[in-house]
Amino acid sequence: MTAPLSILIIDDEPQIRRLLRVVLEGGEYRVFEAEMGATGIQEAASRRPDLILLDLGLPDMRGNEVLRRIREWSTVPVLILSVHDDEEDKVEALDGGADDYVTKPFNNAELLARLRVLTRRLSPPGDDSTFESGPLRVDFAIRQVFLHNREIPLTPTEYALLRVLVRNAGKVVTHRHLLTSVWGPNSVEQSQYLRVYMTHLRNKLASDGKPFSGIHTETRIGYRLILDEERG
Amino acid sequence: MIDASRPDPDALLAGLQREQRLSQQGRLKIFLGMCPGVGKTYAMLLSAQQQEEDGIDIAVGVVETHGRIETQALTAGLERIPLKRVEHRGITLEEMDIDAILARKPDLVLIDELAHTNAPNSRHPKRYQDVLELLATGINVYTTLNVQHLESHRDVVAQITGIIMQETVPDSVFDRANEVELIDLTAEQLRKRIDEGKVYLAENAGGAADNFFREGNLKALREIALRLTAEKADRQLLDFLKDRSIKEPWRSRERLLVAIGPSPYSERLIRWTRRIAAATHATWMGIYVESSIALDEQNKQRLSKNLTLARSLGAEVLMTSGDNIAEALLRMAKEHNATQIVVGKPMGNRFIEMLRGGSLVDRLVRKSGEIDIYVVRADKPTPWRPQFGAWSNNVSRLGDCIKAIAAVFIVTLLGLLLKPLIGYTTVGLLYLFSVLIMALFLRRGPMVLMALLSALTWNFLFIEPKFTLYVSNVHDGVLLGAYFLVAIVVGQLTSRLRRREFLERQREQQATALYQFARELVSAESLQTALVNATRLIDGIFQCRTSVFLKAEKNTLTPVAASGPALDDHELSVATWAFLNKEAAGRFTNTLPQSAIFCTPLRSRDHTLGVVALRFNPDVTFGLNDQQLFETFCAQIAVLIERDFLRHKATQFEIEENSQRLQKTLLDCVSHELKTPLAVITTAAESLEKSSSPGSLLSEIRIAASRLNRIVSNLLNLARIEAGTIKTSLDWWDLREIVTQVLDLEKASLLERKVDVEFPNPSGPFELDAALIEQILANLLRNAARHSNHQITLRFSFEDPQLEIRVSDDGSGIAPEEIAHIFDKFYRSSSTKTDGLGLGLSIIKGFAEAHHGSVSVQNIKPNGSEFLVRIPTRLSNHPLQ
Repeated sequence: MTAPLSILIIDDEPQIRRLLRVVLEGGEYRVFEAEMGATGIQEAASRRPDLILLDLGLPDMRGNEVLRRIREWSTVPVLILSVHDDEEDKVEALDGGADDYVTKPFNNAELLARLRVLTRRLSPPGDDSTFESGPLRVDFAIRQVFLHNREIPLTPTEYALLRVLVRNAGKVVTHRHLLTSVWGPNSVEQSQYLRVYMTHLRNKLASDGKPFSGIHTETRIGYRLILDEERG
Repeated sequence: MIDASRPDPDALLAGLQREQRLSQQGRLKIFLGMCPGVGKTYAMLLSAQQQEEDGIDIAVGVVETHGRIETQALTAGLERIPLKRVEHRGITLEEMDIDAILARKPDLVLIDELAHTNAPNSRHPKRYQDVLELLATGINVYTTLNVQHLESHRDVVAQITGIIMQETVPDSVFDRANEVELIDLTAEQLRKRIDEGKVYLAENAGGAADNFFREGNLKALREIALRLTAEKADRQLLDFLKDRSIKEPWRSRERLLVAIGPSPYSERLIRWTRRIAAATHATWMGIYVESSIALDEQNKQRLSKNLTLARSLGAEVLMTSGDNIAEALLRMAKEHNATQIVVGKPMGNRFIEMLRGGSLVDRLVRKSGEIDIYVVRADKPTPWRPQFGAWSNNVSRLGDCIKAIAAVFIVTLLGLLLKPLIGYTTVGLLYLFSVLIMALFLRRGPMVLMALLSALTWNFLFIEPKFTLYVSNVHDGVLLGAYFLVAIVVGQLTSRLRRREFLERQREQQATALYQFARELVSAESLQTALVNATRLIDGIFQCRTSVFLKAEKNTLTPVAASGPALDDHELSVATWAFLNKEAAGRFTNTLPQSAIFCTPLRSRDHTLGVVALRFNPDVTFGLNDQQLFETFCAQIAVLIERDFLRHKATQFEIEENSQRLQKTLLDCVSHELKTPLAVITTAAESLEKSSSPGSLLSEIRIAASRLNRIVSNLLNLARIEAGTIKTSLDWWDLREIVTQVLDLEKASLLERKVDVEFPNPSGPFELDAALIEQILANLLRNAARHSNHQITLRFSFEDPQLEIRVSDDGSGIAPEEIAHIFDKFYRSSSTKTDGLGLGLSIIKGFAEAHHGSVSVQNIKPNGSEFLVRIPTRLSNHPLQ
């Protein structure tokens, strides 16, 4: 990593911006700030940041609108910041192209970890025919899953589910995303399938009688496969 | 043509509807006898006793035992509903108390003598109407009936016995019966019973009764009763087959149409049609053709009586208008698929009929095509002329006649003056001219008079030989004949034109009235003004006093607009009856006709909104035309009321919506403003804490901030609960998933207590709002952690459709006097080490209720307390294994 990555913060609260600046500069990021949605879009266009931190509660326009406008021309990773308990807005943002979210008050380590997951996508792709995190190993070429080097027999649906989570490892994956990827676009209402197969998957990945803790439930939003480096 | 092999969908639908309607209504059983004394009441009581033994709830509405001991004995053990005493002109009459029966609401009520006429001022004039009302409320009825009281058999019975029955029961009631039991006795047996004195004969009957009970009569009556029962049984079988769509020779698709007029023998025609229709299982309808000739009062009343008769005999009664009765009848017959038309034998003058293009029958037969025409004999030669002739209705006024004579006189004078100049033929033209002019002003009768008179005068005074009615040469004869014909025809044509015009005007007046009515209603600022305007307009058009009532709470009526005196208690009960039964009541109707007011319910598509009551002067009539117009008015008023109601609702909804949106915005704003600084404090303290030495005050800041954060969250949650802005978003969830999540998040606040969790099998997916459930669980666990010593138990169980969540601790329990208040907000237990505002439990309650559930608490043994949250939910069709 030669040059530090640049981050654009779009938030109307000066205190939050200052706090984020301190935290992020400590994490070797270069930081730009925007106070409003409109200026945020301009900054994003002119500065071409590597990442964007977007607050959903902006005074001049809805955060989701800012996101939509940026997504019209850019695929830059966007992390949503929100104090609202309003899950619907978050789901809308995530389904509308945001990459992940953190809820204020956030934990510094958590924020930096989320950003790291997003920046990984920016580095050139290596060999992604296998995935490994902690005891879990997935071999995409032969469609096999191993836990502690023991093969776990999965049904095609369970495998498909796990694959979507693994492909987005570290990031939250919304219910809608999971349902459309695994069951097709007509199944977005069938969240009961998702619950059933998720439970089966967790039970199959259980070890020592405890369900697999690597898949985290984000209430009302979706699921997240936690990378081993984040745990503990 | 209808395919005979396939069940008629209309018939199937009608069958279904009938079944549905009847299933909600009570069942009617009629004990039918050929005449008094066959033992109907006895049979009814016997059957009732059996039912009573079977545990049916029976009450006696009214039973006439006529002092017979055997019969009296059968009433023992049956509950009697006391009769009501009615004072009428100093005489006390005892009548069945329908209100008492309705209040008592037994399963089955016994009501003797279905044909009985109630005392004046009773609710209904006839007992069978009481029975129908009872049936409508779902009460089953047993009743008795003699065959001679059946409306359609009245004539036949009268022919046999010579007695015309005054008390009759419409055949529709007989048809309505679910069961008919014939109490049969041979004529000899009955005579024997009479001789033994076992038959009650009214004291005043005397010789008439003897006459009635002649053996010949009894045989004939018995035959009628037997045949009627057989027909009924046959029809029930047919209905059964139709309802079950069982293939059978699909019987008659005949449909009879009878022309109804104001003639007294129209009544006979109606009865005849009903009998034929019943015998051939055909449906039938009555048509009244309203012509442009206005009916006089007597005819109007007779017409209305005939129409009512047809309705009560089960006909569908329709009205149409047209001057050509034959055409109108054929048109209606084609529109309504009638296969047979029933008309009376023509009784008009043959000559006049020829002028009119043949009698009604001739014209019907000529144009009927596939429709059969029945011509039924009129057996009562009366001086009354059929309405088809229509001449008699055209009673001319004396004034018109005088005008006609005066006109002839003036023209005659003029003719005498001018004759030397113009000659007698031209005088004839003068006469013709005067006839033409007068036709514009006179009715048909005076016109004929004038034509006749002028022809005679012309002949008498001007045509040679003068001063005789004799015409000497052919030329004059032809002239006179032609004159007379032209005068008559012109007079006819002109007066017909005028009649049309009159009718047009009448229609226009109605249309104008309606238009004005609609405009007044729409332009009014409020419903109140609109209704006041409406009463004013109705008053003006129908010459009455109007009161409008609207539905208030619990089906009571409140007056909203009235132009006349307030209604007294009796009249109010008429209005209430009309409202509750959704039918017109009071004067001019069959219900409470002695009342001074006429009440119509205001009906919208599915509700009754109120009642309009009209008070007429005693001598006023309220004709068919008026009733139709008034009904249209009522429909308009109903629309207006409904519209107002909807507008009101919409406004209220909008206000609620706005205030909710405002509250939500406000709460979101407060949430943002309070939480942002807290977020800054927490995050800042956290990041500093890492770099500073352990035990610094920074951790105190962080802990205080997170506590403050929780309090703010609780307060905001409470505010959202209070504002009602919490909306559940249901989704399918595995309970294990939710619990894992909660235990993870609440690890810090559980203070190292051990939590035992028990799940139902399967543990999901349940349809829940996971965020609410998580909040409830978190609050319950936090509360339990504060009060427990070591152990917390969290137990889920599912009893479709309730999910029960029990959280118990092993603490000291709750003081009994505190249990009632524990879910109150800001309530803090006096004995415990609680911190916070005492909001946790009230939030649990609020969230549980937002999820349509409930929460309760109790102390458990040996120690501790248990909170129970019940949430209605359902288990997915794809349960977890």
